[in-house]
Amino acid sequence: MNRRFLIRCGLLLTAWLMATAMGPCAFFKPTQPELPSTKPIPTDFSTPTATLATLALGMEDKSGNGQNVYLSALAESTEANSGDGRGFHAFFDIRDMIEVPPHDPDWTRDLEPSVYNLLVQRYSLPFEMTWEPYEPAGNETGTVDDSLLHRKYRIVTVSSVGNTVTRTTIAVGAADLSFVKSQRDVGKWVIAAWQDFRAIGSDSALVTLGHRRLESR
Amino acid sequence: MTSPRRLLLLVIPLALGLGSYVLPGRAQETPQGRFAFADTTLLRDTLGLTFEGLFPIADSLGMPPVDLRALSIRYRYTLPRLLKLSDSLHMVVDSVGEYMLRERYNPLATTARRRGNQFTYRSTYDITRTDSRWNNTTDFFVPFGKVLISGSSGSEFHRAQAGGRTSLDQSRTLSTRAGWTFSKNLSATASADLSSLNNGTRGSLYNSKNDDNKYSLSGTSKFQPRRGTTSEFSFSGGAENYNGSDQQRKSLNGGLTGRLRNVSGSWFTHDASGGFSGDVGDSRVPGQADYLRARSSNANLRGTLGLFSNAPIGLNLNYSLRNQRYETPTDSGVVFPVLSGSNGIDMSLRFRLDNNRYITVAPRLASSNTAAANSPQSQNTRRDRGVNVSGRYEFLGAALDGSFVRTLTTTKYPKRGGDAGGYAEDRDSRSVQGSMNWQLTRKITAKLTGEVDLDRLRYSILGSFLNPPVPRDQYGQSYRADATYAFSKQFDTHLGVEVRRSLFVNIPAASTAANTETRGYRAVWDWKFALLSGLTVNQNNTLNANYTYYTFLPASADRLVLDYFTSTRIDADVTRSLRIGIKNDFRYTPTGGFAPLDPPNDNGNSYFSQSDENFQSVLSANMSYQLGSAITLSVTPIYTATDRKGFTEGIAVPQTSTRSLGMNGSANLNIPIGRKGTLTGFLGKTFNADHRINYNSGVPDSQPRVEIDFWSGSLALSWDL
Repeated sequence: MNRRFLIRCGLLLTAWLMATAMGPCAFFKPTQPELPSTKPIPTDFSTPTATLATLALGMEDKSGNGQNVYLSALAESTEANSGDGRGFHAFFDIRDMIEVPPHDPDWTRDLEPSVYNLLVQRYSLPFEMTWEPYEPAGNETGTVDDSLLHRKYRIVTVSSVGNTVTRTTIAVGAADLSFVKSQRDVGKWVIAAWQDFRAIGSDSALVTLGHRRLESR
Repeated sequence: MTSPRRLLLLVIPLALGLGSYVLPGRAQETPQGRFAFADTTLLRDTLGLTFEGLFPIADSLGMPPVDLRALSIRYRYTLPRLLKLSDSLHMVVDSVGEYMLRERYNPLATTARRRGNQFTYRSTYDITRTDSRWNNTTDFFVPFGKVLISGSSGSEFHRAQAGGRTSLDQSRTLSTRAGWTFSKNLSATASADLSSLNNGTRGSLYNSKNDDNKYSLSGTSKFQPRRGTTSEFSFSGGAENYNGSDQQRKSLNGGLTGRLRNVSGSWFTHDASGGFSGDVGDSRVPGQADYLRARSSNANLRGTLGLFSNAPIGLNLNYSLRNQRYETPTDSGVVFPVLSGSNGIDMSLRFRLDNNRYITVAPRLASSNTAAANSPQSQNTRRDRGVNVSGRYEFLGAALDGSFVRTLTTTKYPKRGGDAGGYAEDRDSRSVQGSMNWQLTRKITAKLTGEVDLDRLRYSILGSFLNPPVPRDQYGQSYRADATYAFSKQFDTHLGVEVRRSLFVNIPAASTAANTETRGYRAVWDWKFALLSGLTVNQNNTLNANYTYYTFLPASADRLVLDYFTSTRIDADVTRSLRIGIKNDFRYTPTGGFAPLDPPNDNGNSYFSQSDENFQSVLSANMSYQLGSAITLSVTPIYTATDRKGFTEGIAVPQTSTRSLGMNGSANLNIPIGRKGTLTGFLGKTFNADHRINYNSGVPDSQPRVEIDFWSGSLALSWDL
């Protein structure tokens, strides 16, 4: 009986070793993916407009250090003594809040990686993000330490075959963007508030980044 | 013998009242050995059917136990009866029920004539909150010498309220068939199927009405050219007249089917069946002057060849061919054909010492073409090539099961992007699975399972299509250890631990941001205890943790999802007439990031940074009281509470909170009326109340309470003459 028991234990041990120690052989090894670009993103936060351009570059470089650059354009208040002095908050178009309940009523910088991840996970083609002035929202204002810009943004995926390039919009909308100067980095403009709206015209039927934010939760 | 007993103490650290004396209970006995981990809830008696030997039979047939059980319930056959019929009819188990139903109307089936005259009337009235349905059906069956007359008629009136309007849908059907038996091998059947449908809503523009009448004549002959060979051939022909608000159509159809079985000794069997059918019809949209002519055809052949089925080395080969052409007239006056088809061959070569020691090699080739959804005139094609090697070896009380599967699939979608073209997908699927089932002692059974699989998906462009999917690999591996301990018929418990790892690998650099590695850990503990005779407690506990790492994103993107679930159920037979079941489920799911601390606090470890959490608790009960054999009263309350919280800078902020109460009370009837009548059904009332609170920055915004209650019922009177 003891011998039988030892044989059983031997079988068990062999099975366990085969299962855990040996690991998958080459036949079951996934292909090594192409390595993403490691070229650093040039960052410029010297003006509110430059901050928006840097944020767009961060969105586009989704396979590299893009997320960190994207997030660094948003105000950070949680770091003791070294924050930007204000925290980032995003607000939504009421129609998006009705369409995607339940929602996080207070959208902060901590939640922003979730929308970034949602976009890069759902859309595998390269991104382009563009900003343009948005006159229907009224005049822009600003002082030495803060600024309010009205901009229309658009995020698209880009696919190309030969010389033909196709862009498909994945988020478009208008935003009232409040900027403040960082207390930590002198001369750095960061976004403190992002009031999202659906753009007027044909783009009003498309999904806003605010909608994507709510979706990502 | 002492070592396993010590192991017993290590593996199952349970002392829940095991020392106490327990009375015999109703707990489901746990199957032993290789089937110790099977889902024993499948063994519960249903409709008077028992499922003795379900797991070994399903295993030997190579089908899931749940499917075999469903067949048994659907056709009201016990498992031994199903097996016997399958064997005598020479067909797979899942075809037996349908075949036997069809044979009721076969004039050549001698048992049909023995049943005598039958007449059944059934009237059913169903009512719910927004609709009511009155259904009347009559079935008749009259053998008259060599003639069998059978059929059914029915009518249904369905009233529904929606948008302030009441709609009334009426349908009437009459199906009659008469069969003549000319000899024991030759018969003919004439049938007429008439139906009328009228959908109407007062004041609506979209009311519709149609009449569909079908007439057919068919003949069946059986022929046995020599010993060991049997054949059956049938032909059919008929006409159809469809007159509807949407279309008017007149058509003729015909078909020929045949079945051939050849048996030689115990080493050779060959079953083949095939058929061809076609129809030609003229159709038009009401109001149009001209009819459009459309033709359709369908041809198929399938067969099974068996060589040395009961020998140590045996071969089984299946083949099938199918081609279909279907012409569709369009509103624009054009007829276009839709083509589809499939063919395939698979073979299994089995080397067998006995049922517990064998290896099977099964290669497979198949191809199919189907109409593309966005362009029915073009076809998507699929080609599969694969091999499956599986085996089992049992010795020294341990059973080793293993399988290896490799499948190469090429699918082409030439019109996925319309005229711009489409893409082709090459999928290479590989998997290997192994398990060891080991009955350690009479009471303890252990099982180890390991599995590795890899899917490789590659794409090529057809035409100038711009958006093919991203080439990627999906890899998964899992290891699982389970142990059951059956202390007695009254108490048993199960413990399981599983570790999973999966990789999602997009190949192009532009898409690698979505690449993930997910590590999952799962622990399960459940137990069942018959505390007293008629009082059983079941509990299931599950812990789940899934760590998702984004290979090429900063650690701040990594996620952790935790899930704790416990479910407790108490079933009590208080008296012979009163039964009570109470169930409580509780689920808690915190989620959030899993990343190192920001510099300078980063010490190399990752920490859980919770972003939200969900609670869900469900308490439900089911109480039933039986008044004699005719009436059963039941009450089913259910209370559900959910809470969702978000975390902002480490502080929990409530987001939503819901509470709902549902209550259903009903009386179920099963009253015999005379010797041949039955009144069955139920009458019940349902009540639901929901209350939701949304929180804005922690401030509650209570939504109005929503309450709804309504009566529902169903009464059915059936009468046999």
